[in-house]
Amino acid sequence: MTHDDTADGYVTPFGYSQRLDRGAAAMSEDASCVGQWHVERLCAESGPEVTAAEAREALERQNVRVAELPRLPAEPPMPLALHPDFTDCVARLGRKLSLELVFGNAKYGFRLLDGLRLDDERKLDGEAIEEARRQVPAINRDDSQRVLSVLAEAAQQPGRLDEIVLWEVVQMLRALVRLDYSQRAMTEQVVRLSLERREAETLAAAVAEEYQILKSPRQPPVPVGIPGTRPLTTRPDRTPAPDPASKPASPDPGLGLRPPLQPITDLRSRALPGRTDIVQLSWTQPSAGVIALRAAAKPPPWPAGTAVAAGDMESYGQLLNADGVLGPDQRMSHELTLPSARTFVTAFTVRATDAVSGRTVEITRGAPVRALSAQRFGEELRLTWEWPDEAIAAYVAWQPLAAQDQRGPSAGRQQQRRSRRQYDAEGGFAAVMGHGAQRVEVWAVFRENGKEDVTAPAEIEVSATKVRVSYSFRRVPGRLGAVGARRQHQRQCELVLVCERPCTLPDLIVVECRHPVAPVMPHDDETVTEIPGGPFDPGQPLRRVVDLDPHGPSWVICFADPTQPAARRNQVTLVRPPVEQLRVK
Amino acid sequence: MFHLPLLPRTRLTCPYCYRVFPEWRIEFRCSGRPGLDGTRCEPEPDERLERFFSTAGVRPHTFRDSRHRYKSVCPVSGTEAFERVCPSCHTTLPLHFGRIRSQLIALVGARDSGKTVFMTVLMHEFENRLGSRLGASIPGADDETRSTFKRDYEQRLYAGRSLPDPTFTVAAERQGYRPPMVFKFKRRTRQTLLSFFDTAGEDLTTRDSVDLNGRYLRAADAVILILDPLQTVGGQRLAASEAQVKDPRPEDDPYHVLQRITEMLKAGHRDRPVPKPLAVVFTKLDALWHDFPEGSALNRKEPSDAGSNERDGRDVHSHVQALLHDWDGGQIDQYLQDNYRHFRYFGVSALGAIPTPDKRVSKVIQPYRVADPILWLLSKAHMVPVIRGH
Repeated sequence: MTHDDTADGYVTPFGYSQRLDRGAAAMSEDASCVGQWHVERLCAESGPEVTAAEAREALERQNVRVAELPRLPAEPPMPLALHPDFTDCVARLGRKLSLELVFGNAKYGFRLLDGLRLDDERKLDGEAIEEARRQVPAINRDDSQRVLSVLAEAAQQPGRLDEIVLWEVVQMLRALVRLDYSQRAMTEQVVRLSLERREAETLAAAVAEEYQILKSPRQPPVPVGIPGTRPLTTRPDRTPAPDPASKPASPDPGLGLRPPLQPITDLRSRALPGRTDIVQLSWTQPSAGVIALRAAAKPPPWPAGTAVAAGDMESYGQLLNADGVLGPDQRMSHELTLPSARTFVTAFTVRATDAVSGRTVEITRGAPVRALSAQRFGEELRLTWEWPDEAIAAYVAWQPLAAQDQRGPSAGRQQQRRSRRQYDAEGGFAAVMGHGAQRVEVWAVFRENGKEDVTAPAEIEVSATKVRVSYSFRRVPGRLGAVGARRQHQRQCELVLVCERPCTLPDLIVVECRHPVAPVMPHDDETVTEIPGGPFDPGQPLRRVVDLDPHGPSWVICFADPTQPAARRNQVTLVRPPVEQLRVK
Repeated sequence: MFHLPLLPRTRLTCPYCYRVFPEWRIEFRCSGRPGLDGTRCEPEPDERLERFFSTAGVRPHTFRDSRHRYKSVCPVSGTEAFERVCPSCHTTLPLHFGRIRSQLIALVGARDSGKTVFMTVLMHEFENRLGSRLGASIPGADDETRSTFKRDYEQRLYAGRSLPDPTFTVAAERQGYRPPMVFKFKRRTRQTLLSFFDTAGEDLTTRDSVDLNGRYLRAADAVILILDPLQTVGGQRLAASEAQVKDPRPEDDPYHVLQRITEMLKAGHRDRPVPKPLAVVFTKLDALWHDFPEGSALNRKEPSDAGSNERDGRDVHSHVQALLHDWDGGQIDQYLQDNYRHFRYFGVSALGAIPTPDKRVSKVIQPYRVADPILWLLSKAHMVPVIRGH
């Protein structure tokens, strides 16, 4: 393409086609499935000549499936609306879906869009839930029983359990999309929950599309408070400011058109899956006034619903710089960076000089541990984190990622409890978790009123070590034995390589040297044998006889050939034998 | 092979001032309580305590009783006295001193090599993880170790997450002196006192301080030499970018420090290899971890055996030895081979992470291999078993 298709404002059909392909390719980078809204957007962006059918074809050429996206629930299903603590209980149990509590560690996959169906023909019904209730573990028994009783109640009405699971999946995806997860990453997160991949793609596409529609200019986010400025009303408020001497927040008889300010009674804070640094605040937008969120180290002196002067309100705490975003559940939400100390956030409804205090939520309590990090020492993982105030202990659970994908969401899961004193005295948390990739979750434990409670988990994924290839050397006495070999000026040893799982062996070299110490890297002109790389199976050790200089002793060491590319060289970890074995006489 | 004597010595070494004396010279301190006739010994300043440790305050007098070992009667007040003190420095001796073995361990190294952090973390590990690992109890043997150490060192590092100030020199003892930390190690039927004497880096740079330290080094049963790899040219080159690398001073060069210590240990003896076991500990491994290949002896799981793992120890020794040749050209290794009968290299990270530029620890202290040197020394003294094989 050497000429300009858009010269003089005229776009050739070839230009439209190219723009269409570019647009489709851009979409394919993020998404594997889209709905009609994206098709229309692609048409609009590519030019007036482009039809929906052409846009569909372009997307399909880029392996993007165009699907009819399901209608997503805007509000929680009835059983959850009646039990608002349900979601928190599931999170405290370290589960993403309540379904996991019923089927435990068993292997299953499921579909959701045409009703909940498990691949192995089992059913989520009252019988399965009752069975799970009989086997509730001792840890967090109350939360488990609570969740299962809500499920049992919902199981009495057809379709209710399906709605609950769909709501949980969709809410998880909504949280991810607000964190700027790509659509493909969202899909992978849901696939890990054992949802069938095609359905996971469709649901991720529906949630992503919903979010983009909400973010589009027709529905701007509503500001909830800007430092240094007066909070703005969400709709034009042309009424004059009330007389400062009048009672704040009371209906003004002279201004009968203005509705009274309503306190925010449903401010909530919750941790988001996979995030340890933020919490999500959400609330219902009031019919009048605007919301100002104020944070302080202590709760406000006014109970919720108290009318206060705006000046008094401003003397309490600090205004949070928060932009609320309207969610599909018609609630405003804002992600707040987790404060380091215990903090109370109060929602005030404000209009001019009037304000009404609303609900206060405590942020640190219930927040997950922060700054979770892991360091690997072979099969041992060392974890560190920062505790939320008042946490007394933590549960640490780990699970091989491979097992999670292949054998069900709870396969191979292990859990330990670590008190805060132990953590500080013994240098964090360390456990032998194996060489494979692990997903690690940490819950902080609080004690309140003599009862223990856990926070939402903080999560981290730790990559696997490379495949370990061990080697050893064995002296080869030769046909005439050691003495005969010496007489014939022969000196040989046999290199034996074994691996723990199938891998591709890089090119190897065997080095013989007479340095005072065993070298940690090969030097020039010391290579005695080169072994070409290739597929390597655990059941078939690789043996190679190496001719050495007739005069010993010398160091004989195997290295990955340093002249090959690093990516190939670092495919495996060569595990040295004890240093005595490297000294060959 | 080096073996420390198993039986209590007839000549004892004070674990605080490191002076040698026969058991019969141990003194008792009067309890200060009134005797049967109402006579009471009034507290008075103790010149020896003041001279050695600048300890102010008054205490009842001391007296010698060569006929009794564990308790005596004050010749003035007639009250029973149980508190035994060193005849040289008048420090209260640990319970059962003289009846159980003592291992005096000198901790030496250049300035900023991390001696105090290493010792603080090691003491903390003694009290927390090492005891259960070894099936041993390792409490502090005296009030100084139990309280002062906790308040001045452990809390500052663990609770305050702040690195200690540079250790003041022994030469400046008039301004203040840090007595050795003494622990009582008891495993099954065996027990020993472990006395750690932490010198300041500057102590090894002047002739006066060298003389003073010479006594401690000569009395010590074993030496832990702390070297900072970031003070070698090769180590500096490989250090992580966030590590605080300073321009090395010539007197802090690990090779020079080793030479001075060796001269102190050999002074007054024939020219032959030093028989005391020497643990050569390279600290601040956290600044170099990124450079170690996966599977290296210095970034694999540390052993959790109830003893000194010989195979792992040899692997670490060999690896550090090879690194040392890379960093420093092998002169230190050769010098050690020529002058010491028993030495072994160790690599440790006392903090488990690189401290911040303002000398603070950003997260929980997670030491790595910090117990390896002391376990090797204890195995040399037959206090813990040597674990062979995997």
